[in-house]
Amino acid sequence: MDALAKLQLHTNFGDADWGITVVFLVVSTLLGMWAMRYIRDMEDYVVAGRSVRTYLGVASMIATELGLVTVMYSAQKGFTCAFAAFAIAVLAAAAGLIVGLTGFIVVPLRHHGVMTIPEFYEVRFSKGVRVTGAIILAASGILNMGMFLKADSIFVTSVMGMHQEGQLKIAMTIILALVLLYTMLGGMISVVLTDYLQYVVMSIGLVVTSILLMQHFGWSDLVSAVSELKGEAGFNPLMKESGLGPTYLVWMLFLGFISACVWQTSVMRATSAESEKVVRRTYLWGSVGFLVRFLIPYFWGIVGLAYVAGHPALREIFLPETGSADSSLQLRAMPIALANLLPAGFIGLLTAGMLAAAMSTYNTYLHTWSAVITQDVIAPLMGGHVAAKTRINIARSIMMLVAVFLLVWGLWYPLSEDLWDYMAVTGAIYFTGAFATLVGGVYWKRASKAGAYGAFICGFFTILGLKPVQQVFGVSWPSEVVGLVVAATACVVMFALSSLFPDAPKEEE
Amino acid sequence: MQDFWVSLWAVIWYGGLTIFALLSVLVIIFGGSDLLALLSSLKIRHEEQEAVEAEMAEEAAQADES
Repeated sequence: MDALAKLQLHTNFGDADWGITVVFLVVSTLLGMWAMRYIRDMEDYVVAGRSVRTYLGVASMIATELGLVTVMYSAQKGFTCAFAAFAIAVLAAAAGLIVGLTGFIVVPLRHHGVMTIPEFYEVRFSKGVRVTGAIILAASGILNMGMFLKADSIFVTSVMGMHQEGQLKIAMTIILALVLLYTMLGGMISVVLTDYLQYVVMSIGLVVTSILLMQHFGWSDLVSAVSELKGEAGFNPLMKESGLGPTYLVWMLFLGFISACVWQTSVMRATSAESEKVVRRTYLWGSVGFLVRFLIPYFWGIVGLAYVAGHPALREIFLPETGSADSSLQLRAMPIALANLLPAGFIGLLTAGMLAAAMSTYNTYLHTWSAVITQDVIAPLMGGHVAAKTRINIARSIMMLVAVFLLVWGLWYPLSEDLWDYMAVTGAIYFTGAFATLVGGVYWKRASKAGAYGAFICGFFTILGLKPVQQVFGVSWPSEVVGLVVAATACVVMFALSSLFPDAPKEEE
Repeated sequence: MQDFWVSLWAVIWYGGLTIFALLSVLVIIFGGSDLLALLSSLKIRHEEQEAVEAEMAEEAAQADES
């Protein structure tokens, strides 16, 4: 950061760009607040009255899953692994496509008519499993979200030329406050409504930016730059030198399935869909989104690599002769390249698009985790007899608390781990156990609550994938190996405990 | 071997970007009409709920009177 400040980097971000960005933020917030008039009960608030059709579902899903944080960590992957990283995008799309074709997990969930995944745990197992699953899900999801503001702020500061930490904190606080305001008031309807607006801005920004970047760096220029810097490892994902390798790719395919059918924010799209047919169609079309949400940022990251390689002063900082640049520094390569390559005026549209991406992710995540805690922890513990209005007020209060946590954790807590590792491991604490529980619960009649508890407990061991935790135990294991081993163990535990301790047969009603 | 990967990624990149651009046009156009349908269906549902609630309140009032 200091080394970059000394360079006094130029940015094309001007007054017109500020205007575009501010107008977008105001319109988006007003629209979200306007949606409040359509909220009558919890079903409206949580799943938009289950009236979301295919195209709107696709817009909402892509807008949510293509957050600015995804753009940032994917661009970093493009910067470090170059074209080889494209394999991850292909695997993510394949997973989404398979879920769309087969309806794997998501169609049965929609069929059960549940609003959240933990609600399914109660229908299938018991209230205890629901509450336990919800606590782990929300804790893991909120921790996972904790670094979004940090990563997004790096993009905003680099593009806008704001170099003071104070300015950055104020800007991100304002954005979070705006999202909080309309998400608290409008619930899922405001999420879907603003997701649509944000999709329009974001999709135009993504496509036009990519075309403009291709005008600066033709395909063959990028191939030559990567070939010179990394050799075949910059293209072949099966080579260990690429930073990926076969085990990592299997882990990425597994993560692709998780993103599509186990991660609550995606599943919310299935549970709020108008019908099971719409669920399948949303995932089929959404698989293009699963491809592009990685592919485009990878490409931008490769452009960032070629850009810094072509500027000796930047090359010295980003591509040192010995070792590699700091992780948070690598994250700045792509936005610095964009700030210099894109024309003034358009960069405002891109920033609005990226803020759209960030806001649509924040609003869905805030809404999702507050809904899970309200519906699946507080309401069951209160015996389920909670009035709809009280539930909505509880959800709003939790949303506020989560937002405060995000500000403290994301802006004022120093990130020491690699961003992608942090995200993968915090997410895996939940999804490794949840995958076994959901698959068992949906597709195996003998799956029992003992198996579900066992799988959840297994999931906690994913924390061994974090470098600081490994340092405590004096070991060094690749996080993908830890994740895959824990996921497989959770499945075995689910099978073994369900076989040993089956549930008592339910009485016929 | 490198040529194979370069060709594969070129197809994926140009194909993916084109499909996404086309899908975006569809989603922007038809997503807008889905959005209007969502709002109108919610409005109709709320009106029906209000009618049922009014009917129930009326029945309760009549029961009280009798």
